[in-house]
Order: sequence, then C-alpha cells, then structure tokens
Amino acid sequence: MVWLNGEAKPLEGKTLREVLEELDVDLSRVAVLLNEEAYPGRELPHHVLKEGDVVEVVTLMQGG
Amino acid sequence: MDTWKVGDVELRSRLILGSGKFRDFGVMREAMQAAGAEVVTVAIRRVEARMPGHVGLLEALEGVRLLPNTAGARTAEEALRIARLGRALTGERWVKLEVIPDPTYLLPDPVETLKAAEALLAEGFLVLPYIGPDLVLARRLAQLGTATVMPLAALIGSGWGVKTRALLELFARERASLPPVVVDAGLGLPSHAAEVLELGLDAVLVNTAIAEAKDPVAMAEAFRLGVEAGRRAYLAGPMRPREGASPSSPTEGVPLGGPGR
Repeated sequence: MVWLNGEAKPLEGKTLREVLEELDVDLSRVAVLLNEEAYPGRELPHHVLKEGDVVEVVTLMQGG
Repeated sequence: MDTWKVGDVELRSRLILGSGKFRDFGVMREAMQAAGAEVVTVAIRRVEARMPGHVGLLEALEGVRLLPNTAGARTAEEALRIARLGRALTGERWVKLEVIPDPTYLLPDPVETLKAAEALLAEGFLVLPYIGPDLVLARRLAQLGTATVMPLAALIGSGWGVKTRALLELFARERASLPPVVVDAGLGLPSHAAEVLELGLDAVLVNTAIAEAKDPVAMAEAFRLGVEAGRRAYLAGPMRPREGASPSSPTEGVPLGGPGR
C-alpha cells in the first residue's frame, strides 16, 4: 500500500505523475511531499511508487 | 523613514495580517489593503480530488509577501514537513513556525519549536517562530538565528488583549539583544495593538480580530491606525506615570474675584 494524503491506497507501480493526474489537480497550484522530500507540482521527480511510500499532495489555503 | 527588518527585507508596515477566516477573497484583499499589510500568512493543506486548489487565493494576495505557516504541526518533524511543502508551493523561504500539540488552548510547544527552528535554519529557511511570552526561549531562538520572535499576547483567536503584558515588557526591556519582536495571537482591538507598539515592540500579527469584525475592511484600517498610533507614541517618548495628580494649569493667578491665595 501507498499512503496518499493519509489513506492507504494500492498505488504501487504507478508513477507519481499518474497519481496526480488521477487526482485531477492543477499542478501549478500544488506541492507534493514524497517521503520526506517536497517538490513543486510542476517539478515532480520521475518516481514509480512502491510499498510504504508516503505521498502528500497539498495546496495553499487561508490561514493565520 | 521608520522601518523594521525581517531578515534583509525592510518593512514599513508593522501589521502582519493573517489570511484565515475571511468570508471571501474579495473582503480579504480589501482588508489587506486597508491594513497596509506587506506580509500575509497562509496555511498549507491536503488537496481533495478534483478540487481546483487555491484558485483566486494567490491572485487575491498579489503584491504582498506570503508567509506560509506550519499550522497543524504538533511536533518538530511535522512542522518541517509542512514548512518544506510551503516553500515548494510559494517559492518563499520565510516560514511562520508554529508547533501546537494542545488542541484546547492552542499553546505552542517550546521544546519542539526550538528543535524545529534549528532544523529549518539549517535548511536555509527564514524562521519566524510563534512562542509563549518566554524570554529565555526567545534568547535561545535568537542565538540560533531566527528572524523574529513572536510571543503571544493571549490565546489564539481569543481577542482578550495583552494579557501577557508584564512578560512582554521584559521583551521590550531586552529588545536590543533580540531579533524583532512580533506579538502574535490574542489581540482583539486596535487599542491592544497600540499597547504593544507603545511598549517599543516591533510589530503585531492580527487575523481573527479583523476577519471576524462585522466590517473587516474598516477594522483593518482601525488596526493600521492603532499600530501607527502606538508606534508614534513609543517614538515620542511617553511621560512617566507619577504617584498622584499634577495640575495642568498654573496654580497661581486664579481670578477668583476675592482676596488672592
């Protein structure tokens, strides 16, 4: 299983980019944490997901 | 011109605005302009599938420097993760460091904050840490090289005012050995902001008091004026309070119509 935004999902074998395409989000408005490394949505590394990978896909929100 | 600095950046406005809780981006933008804010905080959150993300938010915040926060972090490790994501999203190395394990009082964790600050500085971040009114912690952060220290005036979002005044006075007294002191959290009225600036502290960070006002734009302007009033009063050198009354008019020559006194 791969942890995607806190949920375990069977995404092994897919690339990070494929997962973001499935989420259908605008890459210019997100950032991605792959394990402990953070990347702008437009600068994703080529990475084939494997068991235990942790992925967070985030965006900016209002906050104080 | 009276300015202050965060890192190498010279700022004129001593009012940092939090972008939370505004009912829409239009009101937020107008409030930001009325506040004269040059720096505005933003949060980082998970996207939902097929949700467009911050459409309109960046546009509404155009022209100000974004200060991504680590809100939601309960540990140093979580704060690092959120900070890195904030930098990837905004391209901005400034981070408002907040590490808050306690969901009831929302008080910052001093140990985790210090740990996180050290790690973030090593990664090249410019760190603005939210802390309790603890001068010892502030000095430790200053030694590490944080860009500011941001002690609280009262609980986050409470609007209670400067409840920590006696301890903030120590920050004012020791100001020369500290980075800029930004009082964050708990301010409810422009007079509270004025009080902080009158002490000689550098700036305030305000969110809820403006966003939850009936008219946030008018309140933003009121806070701008409160901050300016407090700062000018500090620079003007306030009088020393004395023990009792002191007449403002001459005591001699009062025309009483009878024998002189």
